[in-house]
Amino acid sequence: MSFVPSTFVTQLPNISRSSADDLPFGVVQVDDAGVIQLYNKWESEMAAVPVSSAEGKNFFTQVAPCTNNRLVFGKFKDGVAKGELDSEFNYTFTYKMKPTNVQIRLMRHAASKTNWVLVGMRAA
Amino acid sequence: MFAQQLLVIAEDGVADTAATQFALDVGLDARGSAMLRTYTAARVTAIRDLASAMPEPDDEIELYRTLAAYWLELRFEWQRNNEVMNYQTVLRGTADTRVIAEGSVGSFLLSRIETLLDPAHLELLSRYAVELLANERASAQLTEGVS
Repeated sequence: MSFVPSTFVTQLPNISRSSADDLPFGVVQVDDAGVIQLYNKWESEMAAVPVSSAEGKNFFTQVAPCTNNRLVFGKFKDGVAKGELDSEFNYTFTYKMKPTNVQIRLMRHAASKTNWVLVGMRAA
Repeated sequence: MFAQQLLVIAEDGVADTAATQFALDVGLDARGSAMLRTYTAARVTAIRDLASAMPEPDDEIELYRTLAAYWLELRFEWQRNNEVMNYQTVLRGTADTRVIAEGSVGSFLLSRIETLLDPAHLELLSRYAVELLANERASAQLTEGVS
């Protein structure tokens, strides 16, 4: 079962910043190159990266370099190229934070051509 | 002056405390925790060696440059640990806790060193690290295509 409620998925791409900030998981909207358009409060606090520092930077190469590999960025680029992406998998963050077990869901909303990186906590 | 600042960030106790906490976070046993603390101490000693080798004000530029090189070295070491732990996580469901803990120590030491690097230089170094690996990947793909 996904950590992302189906109600959230049905709302895409119409997620306001304030509603994204209310969510109990990370919401990062990125363009096709991976540049961050929206970085919610949960993600900012979990990664200890201020929203103002994150938005405008590349999520995969600059803000979360632990995702700059074939497992995440490669999957993202493949999905964007194909125009469809919905993949959820376990991951471990250590960059600038204590060891943190997470789940990542990569999504592309085909109609709006928007891309979403969603991050939730998981037990070890 | 710069060498003194470097000695402060290479203070044993801080890194050792962090390593002990990371060991607890990932659930290493006593032996694993001791090995992690040894791993950490070796890297802290490497930082201290830099400061001891180049203590004079005339050496500061060289010391800064060598510290930047050590940042890159640690960054690539962290990158290797990151790849290992996450391929393990994705392919077999869990990652080796030792690798996770070593990755955390690497990240911790990178943060400590970054307090002494100019933000503009740090951004350049980070970009260099990313581009170097991206170019390496592109080169590997090209080689695969040719052979």
